[in-house]
Amino acid sequence: MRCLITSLLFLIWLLPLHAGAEGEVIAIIIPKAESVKVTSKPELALIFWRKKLYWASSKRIQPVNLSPDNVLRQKFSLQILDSPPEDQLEYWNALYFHGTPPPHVVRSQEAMLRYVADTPGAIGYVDACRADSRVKAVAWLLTDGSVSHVQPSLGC
Amino acid sequence: MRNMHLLIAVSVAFALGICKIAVAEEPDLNEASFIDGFKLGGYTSAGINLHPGGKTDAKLNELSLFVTWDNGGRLRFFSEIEIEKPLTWRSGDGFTGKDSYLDIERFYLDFNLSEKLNLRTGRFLTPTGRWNVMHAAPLVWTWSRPLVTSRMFPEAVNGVMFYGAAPFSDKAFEYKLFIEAMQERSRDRGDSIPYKDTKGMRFEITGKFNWGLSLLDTVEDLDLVSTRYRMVGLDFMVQHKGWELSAEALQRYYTNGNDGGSGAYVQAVAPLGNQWFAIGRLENFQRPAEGSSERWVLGTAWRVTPSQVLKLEYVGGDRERVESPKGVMASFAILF
Repeated sequence: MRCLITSLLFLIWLLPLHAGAEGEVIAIIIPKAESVKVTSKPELALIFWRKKLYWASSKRIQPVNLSPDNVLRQKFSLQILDSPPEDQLEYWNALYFHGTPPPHVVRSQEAMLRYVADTPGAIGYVDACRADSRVKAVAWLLTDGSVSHVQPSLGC
Repeated sequence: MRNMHLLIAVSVAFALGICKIAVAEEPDLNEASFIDGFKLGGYTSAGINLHPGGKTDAKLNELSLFVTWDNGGRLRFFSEIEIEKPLTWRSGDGFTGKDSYLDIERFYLDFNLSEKLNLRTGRFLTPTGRWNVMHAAPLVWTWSRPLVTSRMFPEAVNGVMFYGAAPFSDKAFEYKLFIEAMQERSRDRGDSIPYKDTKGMRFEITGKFNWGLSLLDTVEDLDLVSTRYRMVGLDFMVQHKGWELSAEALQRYYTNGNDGGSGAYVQAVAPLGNQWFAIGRLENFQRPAEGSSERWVLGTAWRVTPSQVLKLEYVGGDRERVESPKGVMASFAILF
């Protein structure tokens, strides 16, 4: 009985730890067949603010966002764009005034994976534990806010 | 020029027939066919001004239509055709449409040359300061516009611009270099100052804080005399959780270095809750041919929806001018 209680307590302690780890690292993903370099957070910001519209190959960059209320979108937005999605409305209206639409929006991480896998020039983000063989991860946004080009230990 | 207007009108009518209505929240970024590459949008606004002397006027300020073409390649097209002041009402005079005119605000092609270099050719808003390139009624907090943002330099240029952006430390560096290739086409509008031979550049550091430096060389081309000016401008803007602080300052010089006019404004916006905002602005302006002007603005704005805004403001200051009215102003603007 004591062993069972101890095991249960250990599992309870382990569960939130695991769930937390899954939500902490964000993978920046592109189509599997493509090869582009995303060097820094400022460059990601340029792409997701739609100030940089073309890759070095002159292919159009197709950034993709999750819904504004998605926790991952909120986290990505705060870390890369320095503001939550709800504070970006005026910016997107202003950009629309200049003929540039905001990034495409998908409703789920699965939709993000499918969109990026199927769209030339696309770049998006998912929970690092959700990235699979349909896409290529080119960078990881770590818990301390830094960008790594080496896959970190995820503990998925 | 009449032929040009006719051509534009026909193009818009054609586009209206074939374009999908663009919605800011739902872009379609997939590779599109030639026809699918067209999008249509625009904005309109209307307002009423109760002047200090008791006179009142109201007007439909503009009906502006954007036609864009973008099929995912290196070439993009953008145009903004505007019917200015299609309907005006003045106390004692009633309704009139005689102030109305068709204006080609923007009409250009963008071509991507490399990752950090793009070419724009055609008619575009002069990238000097912040307000001029963002002047649309749904995008600014007040109906009244600071004089320094419109009477010191041409609002648009027909020419060529090179522009791009690159990472800079933990921010972004943006640049624009432009030169006029064809002179301003409409010299008959009573309220605009004609300019020619304009060239300039703008540099911005953008991020949490946005800083801009504008440099311009232009000729004010009045009927009796043409005067060349050189101008330098500084601006900044910071936003945080609905708060906003912005400012612009411009100083113009004659070629001999003497003062050729100057002006500045500083504007603060505070969130009041439920999409209501309070706005305060101080501005001054002086131009050799016009003398000086000082204004203060207190107002409020309600974002009814993300693309609709209702504004109420009071503009005070020294003597009222046609191009810088005073009094109570109420307006409604919509981006579509």
